[in-house]
Amino acid sequence: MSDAAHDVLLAVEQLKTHFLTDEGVVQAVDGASLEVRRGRTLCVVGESGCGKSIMARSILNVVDRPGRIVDGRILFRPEAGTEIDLAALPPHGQEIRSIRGRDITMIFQEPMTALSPLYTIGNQIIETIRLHLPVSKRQAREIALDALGKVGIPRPHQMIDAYSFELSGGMRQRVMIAMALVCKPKLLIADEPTTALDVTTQANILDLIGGLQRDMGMSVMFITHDLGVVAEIADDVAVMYLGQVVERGPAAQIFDDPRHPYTRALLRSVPEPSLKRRSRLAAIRGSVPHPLHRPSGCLFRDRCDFAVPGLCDRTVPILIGGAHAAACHAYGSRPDRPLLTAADAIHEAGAPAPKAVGEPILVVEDLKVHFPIRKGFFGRAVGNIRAVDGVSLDVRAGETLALVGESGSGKTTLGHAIIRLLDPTAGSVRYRSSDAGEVDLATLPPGAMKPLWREIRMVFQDPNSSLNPRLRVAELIGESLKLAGIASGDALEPQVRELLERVGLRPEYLNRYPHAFSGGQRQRIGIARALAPQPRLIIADEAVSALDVSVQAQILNLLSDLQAEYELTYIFISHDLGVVSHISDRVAVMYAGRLVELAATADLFTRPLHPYTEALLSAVLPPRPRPADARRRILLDGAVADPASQPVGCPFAPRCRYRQDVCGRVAPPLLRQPDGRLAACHFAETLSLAGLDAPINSTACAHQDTQ
Amino acid sequence: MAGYILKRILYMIPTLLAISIVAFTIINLPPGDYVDRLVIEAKNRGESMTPEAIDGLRQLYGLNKPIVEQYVSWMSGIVLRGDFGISYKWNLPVWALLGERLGLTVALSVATLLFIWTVAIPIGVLSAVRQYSVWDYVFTFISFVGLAIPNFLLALGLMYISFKYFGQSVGSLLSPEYLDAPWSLAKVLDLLSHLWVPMTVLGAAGTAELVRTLRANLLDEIKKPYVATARTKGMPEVWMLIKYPLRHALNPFVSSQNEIFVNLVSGGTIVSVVLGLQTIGPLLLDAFRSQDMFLAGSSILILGALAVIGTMLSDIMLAWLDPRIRFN
Repeated sequence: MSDAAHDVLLAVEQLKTHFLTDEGVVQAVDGASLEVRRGRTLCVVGESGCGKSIMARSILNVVDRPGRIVDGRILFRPEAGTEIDLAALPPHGQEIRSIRGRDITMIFQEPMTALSPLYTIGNQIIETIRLHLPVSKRQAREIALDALGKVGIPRPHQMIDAYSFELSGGMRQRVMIAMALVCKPKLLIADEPTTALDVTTQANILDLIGGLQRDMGMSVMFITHDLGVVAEIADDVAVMYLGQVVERGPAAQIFDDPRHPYTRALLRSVPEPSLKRRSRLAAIRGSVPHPLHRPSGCLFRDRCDFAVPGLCDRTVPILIGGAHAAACHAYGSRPDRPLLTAADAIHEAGAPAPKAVGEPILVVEDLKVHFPIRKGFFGRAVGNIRAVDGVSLDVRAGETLALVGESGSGKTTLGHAIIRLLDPTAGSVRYRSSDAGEVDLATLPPGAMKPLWREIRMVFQDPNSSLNPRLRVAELIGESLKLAGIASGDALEPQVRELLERVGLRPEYLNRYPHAFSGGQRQRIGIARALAPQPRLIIADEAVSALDVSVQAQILNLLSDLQAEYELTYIFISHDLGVVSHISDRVAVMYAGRLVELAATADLFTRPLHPYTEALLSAVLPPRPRPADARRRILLDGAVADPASQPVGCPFAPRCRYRQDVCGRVAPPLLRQPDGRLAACHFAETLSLAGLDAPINSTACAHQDTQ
Repeated sequence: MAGYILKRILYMIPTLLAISIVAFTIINLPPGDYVDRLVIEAKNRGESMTPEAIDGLRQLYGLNKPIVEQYVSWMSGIVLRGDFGISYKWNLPVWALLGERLGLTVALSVATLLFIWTVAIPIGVLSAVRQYSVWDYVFTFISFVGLAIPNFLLALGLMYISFKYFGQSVGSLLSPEYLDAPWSLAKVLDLLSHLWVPMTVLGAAGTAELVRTLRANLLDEIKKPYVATARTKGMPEVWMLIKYPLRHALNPFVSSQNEIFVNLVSGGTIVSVVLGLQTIGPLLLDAFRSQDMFLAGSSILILGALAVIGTMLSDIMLAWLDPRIRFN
């Protein structure tokens, strides 16, 4: 065996995993080839529906029925000289089962459901140990306790008997990692393990995996759609599209010199958290086709800017190149790729002119939303969850105000309270309506809110569940038009067609049901529905979070265009600071139901005034490789403060690395700082906090590093 | 867990009290009482009763007292002395009539439950794990047939077949010679030999329903991430199926087991009449028809208590199975 081959722990060769369904054969993985090197991290990237997860599950042969591996080899070389073809082993046999969980282990995206809630976490970890190691129950428990300690679970002796539902998402993912690493595997396959987590938690989990990998010398196959994560951790990258690997190579080369048009397009479509905002994003046309409707020739040609008629639609490109290989005709036949470089110029469009921002149209004052905690036989209220606890802010006409914060910070509740999907407990929301003058939305009787729902609209996160599956597009959008009294009867259809066209959908789609659309298209329908009554203010609640980067870019561009065209005002609720820096004029940072900082986007990103903002910014992963010393992150322990307890002092103090005695005693009010910005920190004026990409003050970091 | 069980038992008390009030009210709703009925029967026989005799009877039975007082004396008898009153018609203490039937009813319920579980769980698992296989189709077909046939019809069919081809009478829960005999090993064996027909009949629909529910639940559960996790640990498939998806899939079904006793009375009465079973159902029907107040009231009360106990047992079992409920 050559050195190069010895260096490879796992080689997937021409893997084909197909699903035999009633509609036909779905070629979920169709000839994918990649390699995982010993001790290295391979990131597998691509949009959803490209077969990344199925490929990963194929390696352990745990694909759900009716899927099965139909061709190809999966060569696993646990030691020098041994080579096992995992694809050839019987899927329920002893041989593959002894590799699963011991030599190759997996962790998954949903830490909420990847553990069974019916057994303690200890039970599930000990089970794994005893499947593979000849140890007694007592010994296994010791090993499990040790593993829980290693992944940073506090009080392992207590937590080992806890159930998964008693833990937060980040803690559950740590438990999953402990379970995956307990038998010291050679390869860890991580399938989007941080996608469902907050950025701050993601940073912790990535550090944890990286540290354990160094200690144990294992290899990692990390599946993700987040190019920021790839840039942060990858040694090698494999880009998948429609079941095939279209480009693979060392991470640095993939980022600096992407060869496949799909890789290039993916990289360009990420909203880079940068300070020059508002350039249009380079979206990829259309979306990933269903694997049943694969195009002929090159799989990507439908969405490719460089497709050559007569070539790309006829001939299937093959992976060409050595360590850095791509499957593209343009690359194969023209090493200098004149086509590709010329087209890049299109995307270097300048920033648009600054917008005219007017008077406040919405003034929120001391808004509170409390939910009673009920207990006992008669449901007495024994306390309050202070989801929103005294928030004041204004929204100016024509601007985009972003609300950011971890989950549990109250940003969605605030949005819902403004539009009265929830009734506020106290405070006022004064809205300057187009005709009726100023109204307080917080105290309006429920019936009186109705006409205002034409002017204030909402776009929801999940485009799958926010559209009634039994209504056609014409009805979904027409309903809003009718309710607003804009059109009815025969006048309805032309209006709906116009709206569809405006959001970039073909008007012929009028009579389709929502299930016939992709996620991005459904979000366009949701936006069209929000636009129908000609609103003035749109509250977008994580409107692009569920979408792939390429589609996310399309929707962000659309939102910008619509804002310019209809003079819309947006409240943009998001946890993704990259997206926020791209779309918003001002940013409001929320923590535990309170506003901790509010500033113009550029100010906030260059010089945050609140330590929480600094920590959030440090967790942002830009989609390009950074030198190791720039990767320093502020690790936030634990979760957002429990909103049920009434904190004394600053709610962020327990997690703050600058805390002083006063922070635990006195809650800092949201004060106007000398430069006109708002921040709720006792030391806002004296602290010098790091913005995006600035080196983090390491002395104050010291106590974080020791953990 | 102990606190949870105690709480559940305490919750039962107000529920049972409410049931007793409703039961007593309902049996007092129809116009006339047991004495009126006796008068009519006497008239039908061509006899007549003097108003004094009628009043005397009313006094004897306590029917002239206000209804609240009647309720209180009935309830206090039950609570203090275990005395459910006298059946006017049979002229026997209610408990003497109900006691043995109650035991037989519970025995039949439990036997039916066990029958349903042992038959349905393996079939349900097989149907789900081998979805769209020949076995799945065969069992699906049988299940739908089982759901569709009214169980009294099934009872008639079974009686006909076993009488015609095996020469065996399958009616009743006991052979005539054991009906009034004291309990002995021979009587228990006789009961067991009779039990299978009503058990099958009463369990048929339940089995079919459980197969369908279990199959659907399991199909959902098998796609859950924790199943993938268990597989990637290297667990043997069958063990994995039992420990993870099957246990999850049992939850909704355990919570529906509270109906088992109730079903046996409402749905089971007709079957019991057809098969001549010595359960509470037919006795209750008869008590209603003859306005035998205490017998009817006590039967309803006991059945209500059985339903409440069934619910409690299934809740406790659910809490034992599912820590998420325990922790709430």
